[in-house]
Amino acid sequence: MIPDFVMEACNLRVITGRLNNQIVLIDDLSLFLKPGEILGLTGESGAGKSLTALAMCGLLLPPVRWLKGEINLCGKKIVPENPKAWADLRGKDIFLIFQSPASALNPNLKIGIQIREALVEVNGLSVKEADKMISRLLVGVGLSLSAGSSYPYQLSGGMRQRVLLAIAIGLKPQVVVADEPTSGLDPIHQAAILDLLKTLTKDHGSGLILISHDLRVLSRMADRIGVLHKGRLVEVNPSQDILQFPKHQQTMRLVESYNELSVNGHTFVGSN
Amino acid sequence: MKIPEFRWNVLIVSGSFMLAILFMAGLTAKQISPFNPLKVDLSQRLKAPNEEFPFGTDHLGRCVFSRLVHGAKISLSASICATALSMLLGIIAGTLFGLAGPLLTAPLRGITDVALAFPGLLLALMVTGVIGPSIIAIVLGIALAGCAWWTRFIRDQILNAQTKEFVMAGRIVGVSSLRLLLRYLLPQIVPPVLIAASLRAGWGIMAISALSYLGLGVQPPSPEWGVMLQESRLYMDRAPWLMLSPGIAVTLTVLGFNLLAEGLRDAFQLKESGIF
Amino acid sequence: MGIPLLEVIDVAKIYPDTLSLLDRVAVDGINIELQTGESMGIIGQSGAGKSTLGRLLLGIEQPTRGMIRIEGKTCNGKTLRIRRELRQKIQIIWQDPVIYLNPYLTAQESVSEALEVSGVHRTIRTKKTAELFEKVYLPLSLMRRKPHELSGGQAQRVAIARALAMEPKILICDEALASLDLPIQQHIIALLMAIRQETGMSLIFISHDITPITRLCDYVAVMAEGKIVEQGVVQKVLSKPSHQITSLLISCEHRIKARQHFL
Repeated sequence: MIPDFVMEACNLRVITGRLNNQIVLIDDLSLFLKPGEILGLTGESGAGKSLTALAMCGLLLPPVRWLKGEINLCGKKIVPENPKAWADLRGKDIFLIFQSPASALNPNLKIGIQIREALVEVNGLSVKEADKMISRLLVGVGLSLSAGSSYPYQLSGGMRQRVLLAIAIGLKPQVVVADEPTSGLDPIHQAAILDLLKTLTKDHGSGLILISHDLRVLSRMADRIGVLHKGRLVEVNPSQDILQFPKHQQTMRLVESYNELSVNGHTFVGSN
Repeated sequence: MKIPEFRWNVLIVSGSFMLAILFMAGLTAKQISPFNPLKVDLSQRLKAPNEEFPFGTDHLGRCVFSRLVHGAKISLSASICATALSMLLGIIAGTLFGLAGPLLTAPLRGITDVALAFPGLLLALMVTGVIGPSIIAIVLGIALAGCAWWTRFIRDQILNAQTKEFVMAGRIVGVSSLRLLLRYLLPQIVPPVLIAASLRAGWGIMAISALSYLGLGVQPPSPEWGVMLQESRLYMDRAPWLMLSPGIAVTLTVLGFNLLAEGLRDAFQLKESGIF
Repeated sequence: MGIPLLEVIDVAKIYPDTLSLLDRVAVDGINIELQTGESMGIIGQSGAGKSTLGRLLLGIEQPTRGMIRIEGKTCNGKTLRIRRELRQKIQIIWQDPVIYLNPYLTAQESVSEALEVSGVHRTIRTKKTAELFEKVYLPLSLMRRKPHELSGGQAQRVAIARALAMEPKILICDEALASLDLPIQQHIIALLMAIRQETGMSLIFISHDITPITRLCDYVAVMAEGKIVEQGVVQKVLSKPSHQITSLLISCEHRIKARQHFL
């Protein structure tokens, strides 16, 4: 049976600060994600986008903490009282792709070894099986086989991001959370990374939460778009509705700039 | 760049509390000491701590408590003077070296390396050897001993401060060299310098006591902790409080400075910087 | 036509690599000519040498070969320390304004410091600073804030005001929009357009985002592997790209950022 939702979050509240001086960072955030669906999350900087990503993966760092709500991940219920439950789910059921891929890779290990480790530990493959898979994964994300024997610092930002995607594709998690995966990359790498993310969802049926401040990117990628403002999800609707009939003021602001800054089809004749 | 917010913590509070008590004791030594620290009374020799003499008396019948608080004044002021002096020299020399172009880097590093290879205490010994044992001599000796270290330290800090993006931005706008130093570079090195000063002041306390113990620093009958330790040597078995009181005083002072340094390091969030 | 505002003649920057003995060519054989008031966009993949070119123009680094002239004055050999006169002509804003503004100075001090350098007398500096704040649409209430107390967009405006205080002929924008939110990007673009119109300042807009270049620039140069592979009038290059890198950049940009047309 295919579950209706791969992920469901109810009334999440994330806070920081001491007891007498609590600051609510995310409040009353509820969302769901269907298999194979891309949910875009956008908002201004400081709206809580990255925090939402971390909260979804149980990676909040103290003093920031998850206070209230519940997350349902592939039928497994997680509540704030039992944060250890994440450890079994991370990698296997949920995978986070960071803004800066450099910090997600171990600088002391060759790329191939890191991919192998992930495959062996999470998927339970034998080393032989994993090695066979690595070359397929590397080629799949558009890297040469020699990338497997290089260290992270020898690769460019775009290439490191591809490595993370290769791991994600290899692990086939139910949910992928990608936090600004293309920021700082040039258009050629951006397009490639976004294509790979799309493949991941369409071929493997993973659900993707794609976080970006760039509505232009989301409009191309996401099935539904949610708009965050001051830690609250002010609007979630199918992409088309968000762009054509924005309801919340914040959404209107974003859509206005989207209309201003999008590449106009007429300017670039001969492209496509 | 974001300036880390100063966060108070237990270490700073406890360290500065300990130091504050010692400072107060030193400053009000005249008022709080029950006796003249130099008053000899052979009828009261080697008395164990009692109501009249809270920490007992020494082999000449002098009040140990009175000597201890007067010693606090000498040790703390000497150590702080020495640290401040070497810090000042280090800041001037280190800043000049840090700002000097790559041409000067190699010879300067050579000089500081040689100076650093020389044990600090030995250098201080030499100075006292030249100008004769006195409080001024050890202050100068310890200050000189710390100079090489401070110069190197400040130079590294200035070099590091210059790599910041906003410093380059200042250069592009064409901010004057003096302004660049005062408003761009020096503010950056304040936190590490404070931490280092606290650590070095602790080291200074130990060095002063050590030199005085060896008879090269403060001279008897001045009530200095190292002098007191030296004098108590012969009566260790009969009157252990004679040795314990200055020993504990030195330990507590050094601990206070180290706690403060540790606390400041956390407060300025420099733990991961690898400087200390 | 008089002396061109900016002439870049066959400029190259080569970093020697002592380990592998293979020198790394960052920028190679660049030729650019820009008249007063004209703006140029520079696009290309990351690692194409765009930012190095910007650093060479500013004099942060010296070219290994070739010649840079601003209003007929040669920049070669003039390091940051000694190019007093040139500094007034060329300024820069960066991707991350917060790390390029002095964290120990307030917004006001940062701007008035630049005024001081450009020789504005003390008595009118405060007034001038306020004028600059107005010009970049910053509320005066933010004057006493330090960079980390400002949002990204506000900090970028302070950086622009600081650059404008020097009254430069050329403003280099090195990925100046990349870390800003979309609505803020739009505001900064509008601001730069207004400033261009008012002061006739030239922009050199380094970016891997093509859209702002269509708004702000007259010419565009496409860089790949340290060389300019194509340059010309923006509309022409973008509509009829002749080099494959250009077409690839445009098609990718199009794929990511083209407006969705719903039926």
